[in-house]
Amino acid sequence: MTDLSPNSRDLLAAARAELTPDPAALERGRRRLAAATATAAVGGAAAARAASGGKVAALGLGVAAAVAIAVVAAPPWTRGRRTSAPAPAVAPAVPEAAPPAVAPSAGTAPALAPTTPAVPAVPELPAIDLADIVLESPRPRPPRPASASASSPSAAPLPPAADLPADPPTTSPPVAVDPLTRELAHLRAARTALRAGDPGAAEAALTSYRAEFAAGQLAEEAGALAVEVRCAAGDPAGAERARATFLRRWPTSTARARVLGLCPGR
Amino acid sequence: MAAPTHPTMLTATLPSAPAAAAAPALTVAEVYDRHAAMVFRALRALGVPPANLDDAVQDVFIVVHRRLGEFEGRAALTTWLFAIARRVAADHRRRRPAGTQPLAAIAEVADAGVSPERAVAQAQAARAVLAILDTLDPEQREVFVLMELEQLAAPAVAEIVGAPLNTVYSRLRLARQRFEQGVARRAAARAREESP
Repeated sequence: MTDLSPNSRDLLAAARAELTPDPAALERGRRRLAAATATAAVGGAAAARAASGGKVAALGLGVAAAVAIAVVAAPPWTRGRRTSAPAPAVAPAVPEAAPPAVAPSAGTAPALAPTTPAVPAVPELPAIDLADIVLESPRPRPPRPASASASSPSAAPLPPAADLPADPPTTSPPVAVDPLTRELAHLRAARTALRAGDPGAAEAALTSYRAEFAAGQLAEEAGALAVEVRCAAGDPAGAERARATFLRRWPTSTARARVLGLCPGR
Repeated sequence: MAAPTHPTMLTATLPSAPAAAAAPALTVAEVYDRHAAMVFRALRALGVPPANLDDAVQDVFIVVHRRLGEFEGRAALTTWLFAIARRVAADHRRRRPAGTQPLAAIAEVADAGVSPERAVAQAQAARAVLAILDTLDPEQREVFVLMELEQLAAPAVAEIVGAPLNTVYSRLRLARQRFEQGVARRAAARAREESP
């Protein structure tokens, strides 16, 4: 096979150096990850409570994490089981860079101990637009815990499939869409309608979501979205009610500041 | 900028269950500290625009956070990370708004210790490489980035992209041809600019 020319190799080497992030970018990512994983742990606990009959929905970046799992299906070298946070044991590798060392956690969660904030003081994070997250085509997975979603996944029609990206060609047999995927589809439809300037359609999508998932895993995001929809509809009173409901149900939500900032000048 | 470690040296052989107790466990934070630079770089080279880069990196490590306990260790940890990064990059590329200029900005200049001239040269090189990569077929691009930029071995790349080894080599050959053509075009353009 023809090798690359020296010119090309030089160009690649220079580009490689340029594309390698500086320490500030790495630290920024590290802080974001610490905050996200801390919140994810909270979300996981909330999901567990919901699974046991509670009404608390998992949200924040915990949901983002769950969604990320949907985005990136398990590679073939992962086991089929799902675990939320037992300590992952991986033999250490040679570090590429030498950023400040992190003391391994002796606990059970994948820890970011030095910078992990206390749970109540969840740092304000950029809003994660769940409706923007692209899902992989569903793949066979181990069955989820029966009560992971409190609602039937088959009650209401999904929003238009056109809202979802085209799935890559696959030879896998079709499988049922899991509840989280369906929840996300509803919220994606609402978000898309909102962006298209159609709060009515967004409201309809949220209504559909609530009808199907009374205590869904993304209820918190749906609650925040409801405030946005009311604002977009020019209904400040409705937005205020939705905001009050949201803050009552999720007083420590990572989306709190975002929700409080909606309908400016109200 | 320190010379990056060859990624294939970053193999983290996962311990079998009995050995796991003896081996020091890696947390997701440690995985981040060891491999984030590689993930940042790969995501950019795979077409994630600078504006989305932080989000994409976070997406990768959120997946790591949730799935690290499931990682069996049949492949190198870096291979697994690349596999995740590849899919996250594809997702971010799909979501890139029409008209977005992927080359509008280059990530922060990597190292303050680099001379200004060299920093400019590196930035120009990165722009050129990314522009050429944008002309490649996505499958060729992946293979080229993983093998030529990240220096992964072909079998690892085959595992990451889920293609036979021969296919990987075929994509690499085509990508190299396209890349050389791009470099030649760039050189010709620069020669024209410099000619009186």
